[in-house]
Amino acid sequence: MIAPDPQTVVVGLEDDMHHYEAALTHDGRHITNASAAGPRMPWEPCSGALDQLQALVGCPLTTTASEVFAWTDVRQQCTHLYDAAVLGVLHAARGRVGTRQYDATVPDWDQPPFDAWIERDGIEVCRWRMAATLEIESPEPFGGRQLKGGFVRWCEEVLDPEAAEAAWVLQRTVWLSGARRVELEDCDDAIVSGLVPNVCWTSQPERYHVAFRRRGTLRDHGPSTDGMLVDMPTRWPQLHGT
Amino acid sequence: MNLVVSLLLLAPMMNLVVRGRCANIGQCPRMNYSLRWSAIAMAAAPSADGCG
Repeated sequence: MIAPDPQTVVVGLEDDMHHYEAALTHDGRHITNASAAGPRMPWEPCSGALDQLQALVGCPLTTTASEVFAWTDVRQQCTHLYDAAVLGVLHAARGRVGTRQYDATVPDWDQPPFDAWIERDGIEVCRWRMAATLEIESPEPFGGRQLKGGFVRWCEEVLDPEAAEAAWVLQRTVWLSGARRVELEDCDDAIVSGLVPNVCWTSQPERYHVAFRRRGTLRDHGPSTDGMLVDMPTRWPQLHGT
Repeated sequence: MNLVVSLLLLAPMMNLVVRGRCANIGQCPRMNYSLRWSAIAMAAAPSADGCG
């Protein structure tokens, strides 16, 4: 007797400001179902983006992240939930059983240069010296590379699939790290926080002006990553026994 | 005992430096922005008779 559910991938993403999770099922070729949870979301409209992940149904399994990012209009998605889901699609496409965990770190900094690094399953796989907030100084082949404007596609052209995946996850991390310097609990809404319009579900024109702060959702993982994503099994029965 | 007391006294100060409340991050205790991603693919469950 085989498997009650061998074709499911559960994904999670957590930092100080966000905590999203999703369960993706597939038939070996395409995503067949997607359900999401948001234990910690920064703005009121963010909860509406959980159902939006249904747009991923039908997406072919692939190890090329840019194909999944192009599958639907990501501006109508939660950026962070969709990022996690992309990782889930890639994980499903590899067809390997088990867990892949990335831990990416940017020490608090006041001005560049600063370092950023990422571990895959406890082993460091990429480290950057940042020349500016969104520009890598070293090492090669990243030197001088901007962290915007087609970074994922560039990674896929230059790096092998495993290295490319780690690089774009680290890109997201560096991009988000500046938010630790913002006292979000003092912001009444997303506009005050500086959230850029029209980049995600919450910042669409019909929601941007009612994107009020969900207070009490901030955590400080600054001193330690202990506790991050440890309660995923409480939300996903599929994980029981894993 | 003195060490324990000192740590207890320091703890509230540690909480004050997070998220930009410290005027000069370079002079504050070092902390990190951390982002964890996890993807877990389900394994086939073993059968009751162990023949999987």
